[in-house]
Amino acid sequence: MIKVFITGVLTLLVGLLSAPTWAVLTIEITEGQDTGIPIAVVPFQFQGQQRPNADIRNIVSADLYRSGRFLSLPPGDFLSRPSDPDQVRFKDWRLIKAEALVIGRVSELGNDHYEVSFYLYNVFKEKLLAGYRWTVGSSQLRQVAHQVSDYIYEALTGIPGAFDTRIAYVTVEKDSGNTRQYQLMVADSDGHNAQQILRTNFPILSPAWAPDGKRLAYVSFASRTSGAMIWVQNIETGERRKLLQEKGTASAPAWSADGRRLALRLSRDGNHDIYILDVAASRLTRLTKHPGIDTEPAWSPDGRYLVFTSDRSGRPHIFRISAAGGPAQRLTRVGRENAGASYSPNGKHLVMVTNQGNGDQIGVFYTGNKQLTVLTDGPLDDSPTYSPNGAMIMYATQRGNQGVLAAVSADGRIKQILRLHQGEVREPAWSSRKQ
Amino acid sequence: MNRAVRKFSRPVRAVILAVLVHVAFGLLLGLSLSFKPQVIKPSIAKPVKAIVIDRSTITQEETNKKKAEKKRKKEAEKKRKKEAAAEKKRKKEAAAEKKRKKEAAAEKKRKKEAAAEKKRKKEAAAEKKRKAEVAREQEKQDAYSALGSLVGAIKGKIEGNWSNRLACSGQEVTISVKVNVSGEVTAVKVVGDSGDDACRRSAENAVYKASPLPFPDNPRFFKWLDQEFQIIFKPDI
Amino acid sequence: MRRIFHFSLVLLLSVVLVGCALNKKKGSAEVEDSSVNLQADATSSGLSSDDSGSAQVLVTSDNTLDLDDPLGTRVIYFEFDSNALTPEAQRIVEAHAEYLAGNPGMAVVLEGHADERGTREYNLALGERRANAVADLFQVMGVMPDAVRSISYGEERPVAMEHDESAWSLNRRVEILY
Repeated sequence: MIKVFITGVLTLLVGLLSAPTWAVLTIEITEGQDTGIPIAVVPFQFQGQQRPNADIRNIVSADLYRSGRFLSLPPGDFLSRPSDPDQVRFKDWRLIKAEALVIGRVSELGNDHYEVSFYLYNVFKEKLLAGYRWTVGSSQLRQVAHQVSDYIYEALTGIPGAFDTRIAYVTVEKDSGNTRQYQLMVADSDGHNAQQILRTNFPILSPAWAPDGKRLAYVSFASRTSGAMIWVQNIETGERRKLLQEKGTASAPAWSADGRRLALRLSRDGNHDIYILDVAASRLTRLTKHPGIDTEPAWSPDGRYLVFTSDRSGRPHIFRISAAGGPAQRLTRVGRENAGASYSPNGKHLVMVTNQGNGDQIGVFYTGNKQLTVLTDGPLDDSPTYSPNGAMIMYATQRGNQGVLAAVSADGRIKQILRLHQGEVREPAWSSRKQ
Repeated sequence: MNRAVRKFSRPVRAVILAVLVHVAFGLLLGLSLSFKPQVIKPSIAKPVKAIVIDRSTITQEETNKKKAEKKRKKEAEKKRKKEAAAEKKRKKEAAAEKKRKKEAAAEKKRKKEAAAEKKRKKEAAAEKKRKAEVAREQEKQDAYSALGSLVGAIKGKIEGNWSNRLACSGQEVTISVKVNVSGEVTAVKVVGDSGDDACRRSAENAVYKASPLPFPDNPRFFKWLDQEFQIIFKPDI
Repeated sequence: MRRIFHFSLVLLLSVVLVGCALNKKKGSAEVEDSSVNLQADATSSGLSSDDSGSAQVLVTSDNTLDLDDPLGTRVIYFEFDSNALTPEAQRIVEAHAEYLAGNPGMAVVLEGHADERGTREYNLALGERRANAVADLFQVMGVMPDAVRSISYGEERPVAMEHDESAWSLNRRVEILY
């Protein structure tokens, strides 16, 4: 079709040009390589005695690759290895078709401190786009690398990066007595620096980050005879408390953007409904009242709405209700079931678990035209969570009969498995807060 | 038979001979028919009265005769001369006339030929001009045709270098490109203000990396094509 | 259902064999439940009124069983995405209800479960629904509400780990725990 169009345009233009009027030859490009921006990240030059463990270049390169938006060129192809602006010869980078260049340096300052600097260039325009310097302890070098990635990402895509962020997740292992041991973990978004927050014999579900990035709400069980309850734990101090002293079970905590309210599922009267808790006032407001199961509330970024899962019309589907209360409207109409929805940071999309006959898959629902796009293969995918910049979705999936975490770019193009842990990994939650 | 044979062309001669033969036969026939022996009757001589002529009269007469003869001769001569002169003149004039006519005819011919030559030259020139025009037009067409056959290759090379199509998702950006005769990109410029920074950058980089573009490398074609052309980046995603 | 019944048989049989080693009682036709008190010394109490009368929930350890008795079955199963009691399940629940109604001191925990399909939170609620369905029937049959605790583990504690219907059907259950 394009060829016909081109010849048509050309013929038209030839005809026009035969007359003494001016017309411009135009070519339309619609296809591309979609490999991502080819970027050359030169290994950072090290000055000092004791090389740190963290290799900034490798961390940055892995971050950029994982985002799906970049093609990190192999250092073996580099014609030179500048670490300083006056060492840069742009021709070397044009030749290998790098669109962007990153150079940098790590200098040992003594006392386990390092100075890190980097520069980012637009190769074909020979223009400096960004340059930054840090002085940090060795334990912070990974974080600096993620910040470098964030600067590069934002300079070249226009979207803020989400590499200097943290994730929470649950792991399950069988101990020596063959009892399941559950752990709530917090790690960097690339899975490194994992720390245990909680360990128990009882299941842990639904970790939810408070907006301040310091607290996690989660669901667990106090004893064999008690049902699900919500706890809130301060990650730094380890201090935790039960959220409600209610009869009946509570689960599915969801923080509002200002951290002042928690939406949750409560079954006070044997009925599963959505409630909103004003944290400071400890006041509960009932939002839904329906004999069906209403659960998994999630706030819109502007705090005006909540979406939730309900089976009031038969099978579970996504509904929306005003945070002030009122009638609930059904949002999803396609697929057998839709559950576990949450908003993208810009409020335009909902990621959810959808069943369209192929098991449980991750899908993205566009609120504008109500189209649902399936991103993953399933059949047992669960717990999707958006990165803070909306560019990626992390979720739980199965690989070789074991639960693992995976990340997919929001357009579904790039998928990656995160190798985090020996045992089962599940229930990821991506903190919206940068460190 | 007529023995005086003139130099005529054969058929004419044949005709003449035929006529003569027929006349001859006719005469013969006539003669034979009308031939009678002619009796020559001696005529009775009439007595001739003799006149006495005296010698002086005779000599006078002779002299007069001679004079007259002479005069006559003279006059005849004169006349002849006159006639000859006139004839000469006439001939001269005729010759001159002939010459003049000949020259006039030659002149006319020459003029005609000159005019024809001029016309031919003019036509040849016009023809040359037209041919040159046609050739130029053809060259232009060939140039465009050469470019046209390369548009696919240009498109392919740019597509092969558009690494970051996603940056232009839902957007459209137009790049104006100038190339030199070897197809090397000499100028890249974003036209208009559509597309965000990341999209514009991805389009510019696609063009830079695609240099040199497949381009007709015939220098004769280049003059038709050296103006800038435009590339619209509009992903279908 | 027959198949499930036989499977539970095998399960309970193994538990019985363990219990046998601990507690010996001369066989009687009746099923005797001997309960072990978690907190204090082991006391075995029969079906009579010898028990403490408090509604302590106790972990069971069976010794002898009459396997034809529905009371011997401590697990009931459900259809996909449903909390409706099948006739077989109903029969078993009613047997337990009768027992509990007749033994006001006894307490029970109903543990609801679901198979792994669907989200964890939804399955948590579904498991609770199933436990509540049993609790409702108990209540109808005269069991005191205080004697019953309904909890749910959703899909978190499966008994069968495979990813197929045979495993899923075993995980969609309510366990009746004394």
